[in-house]
Amino acid sequence: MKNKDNAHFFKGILVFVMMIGLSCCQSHSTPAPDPGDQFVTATSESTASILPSVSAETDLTAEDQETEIPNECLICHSDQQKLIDTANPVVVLESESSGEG
Amino acid sequence: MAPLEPWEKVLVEAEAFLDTIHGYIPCQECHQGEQSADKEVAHTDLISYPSDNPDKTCGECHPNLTTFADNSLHAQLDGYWTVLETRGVSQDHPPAQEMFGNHCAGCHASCGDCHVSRPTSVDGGFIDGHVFNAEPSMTNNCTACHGSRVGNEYMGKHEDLKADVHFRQGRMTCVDCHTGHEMHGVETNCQDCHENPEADVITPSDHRYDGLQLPSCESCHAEVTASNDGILLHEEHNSKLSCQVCHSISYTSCDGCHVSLSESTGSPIFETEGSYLGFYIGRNPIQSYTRPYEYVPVRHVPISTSSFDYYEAGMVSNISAKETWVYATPHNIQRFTPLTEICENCSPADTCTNCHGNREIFLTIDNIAPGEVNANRNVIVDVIPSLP
Repeated sequence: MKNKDNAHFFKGILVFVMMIGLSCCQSHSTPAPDPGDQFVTATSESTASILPSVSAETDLTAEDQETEIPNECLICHSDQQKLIDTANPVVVLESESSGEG
Repeated sequence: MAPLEPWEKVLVEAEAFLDTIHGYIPCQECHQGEQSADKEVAHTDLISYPSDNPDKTCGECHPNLTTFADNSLHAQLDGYWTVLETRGVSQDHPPAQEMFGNHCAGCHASCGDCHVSRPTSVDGGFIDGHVFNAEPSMTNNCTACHGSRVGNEYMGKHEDLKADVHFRQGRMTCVDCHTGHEMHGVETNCQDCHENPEADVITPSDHRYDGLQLPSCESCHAEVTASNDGILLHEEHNSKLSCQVCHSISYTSCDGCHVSLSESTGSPIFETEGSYLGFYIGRNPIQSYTRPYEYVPVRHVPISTSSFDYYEAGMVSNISAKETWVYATPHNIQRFTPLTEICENCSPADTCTNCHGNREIFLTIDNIAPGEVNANRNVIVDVIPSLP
C-alpha cells in the first residue's frame, strides 16, 4: 500500500505542475486545483470519470495524465443493463433437501 | 431469504463505493483479473472472494484482525469438530472430511461474508453495492445463516410467538450483544477498555458455550445479579436457573438430520426427520463457575447415529458421549412468560406453581427417544422440583 501511496503522490505532483503550466496558456482562468484533490479518486459525476486502476509499477506519461484510463471493471460492474446482458444463464435446481437447515 | 438476481449480486454502486477508503484500492489488487471490456478476458484468473485468503487481502490493512479472525469459530468451524469428535467422528478420517467438506464447511464465514456480501452459503451477493459495512447486517448476514432457529425466534417469525423483547422494544440487532471481539476471536486484554473486568484475558473459544459467558444478561441487567432488584423470583432462585428458564418461550428443536449427495446433480442435500416448537427445562449439562445454573432450557439437536451413513455406516460411533438435548439460550426473551405471568386474582406466590410440580415444562424420560436415554442422563429431570 505504501508503494501505491507514493505513486499517487508523485502522480499528483506531476498533474499539479502540468495544470499550472497549462493554465498560463489559457485565455480564461480556471480555478487552480487544490493539490489535495489529486488524491481524490472519485467524482460524483459519471462512471466515465472513474479514475484509472493503475498499478504502482506503471510510469504515467503526460499523455496518460491528459486522458483518464478507464476502469473497465467498474464500467461494467456499475452498469445494471450490461450485467444483465452478459450474465451467465441461471439454471434453477429444485431443492431436494427437506426440513429445517 | 429471497435470492438475488445474478446482476444484483455483482452490481457495484460506484458513486458510494469510490467514496470509501476501500474504493481507493484498485480492483485487481484484490480480485486479480485483467482490465478489459471483454468479460472473458477481464475474468482471467479472477478471484471472486478475495477474503477467502485474508492474509493477502484484508490483512494488508487489518493485520490485527485477520491474524485472529482466521482462527475464529466462524472461520474454522471448530465448534462443529468439537462436538463431532466427541461423538466419535474423527477429523482425520477421510470419509468424515468428505462429509464435512460437502455439508458443514459451507457455513465457513470469511471477512467478506460478514462485511460486504451475503454469505456464500446463501448464494452470496453484494449487500450494499460493494461498500464495506463495519457492522454486519442482521437480516443479510447473521440470520442468513443463523435463521431457522435464532433468526426466526428473535424476530418473532413463529405464529403466536412474540419476537425477542430486545428486538421488539429494544430495536437491538445481533451486533449489539455479539461484538467484533467475539466474532473475530481476538484474544482480548480486558483492561485495555474496561475497569474491574471479570477476567484478565478472554481467550478464543472452542465452542460457543466455552469460557466466559459472553454476552451475558448481567452485563446490562446487573441489578439482577445482585439479587436486590425487588423481584421475589430473582431473589428466590438466584443462580439456580439460567435467565432463559423463566424468560424464554417455545423454541425450535430438530430431530435426525441425514446428509447425502443428490443422485441427479451431485449437490449436497439433507433431510431432517422433524422440527417442532417446544419448551423444555433440563439439568445443566455444562455446569461450571461461569454457568453455575442447575436448570437451563435444552434443545434437541438433529444428530443421530445414522446422520452420515451415506459416507460411512456408523460414522457417529459414540453418540452417547454427549447429550442430544443440549444447553440452549433461546433468543426469544420476554419479560413475562407462561412461567412468570401472574393471574389476575392470584398472589405473586401463585406463580411458583407455573413451574414447580409442572411436569409439562421439564425434560423427562418420556421426552427422550429410546436410543438416546443414555446420552441424556445428565440432562433428564428425574424429579420435578416441588415447592420448598
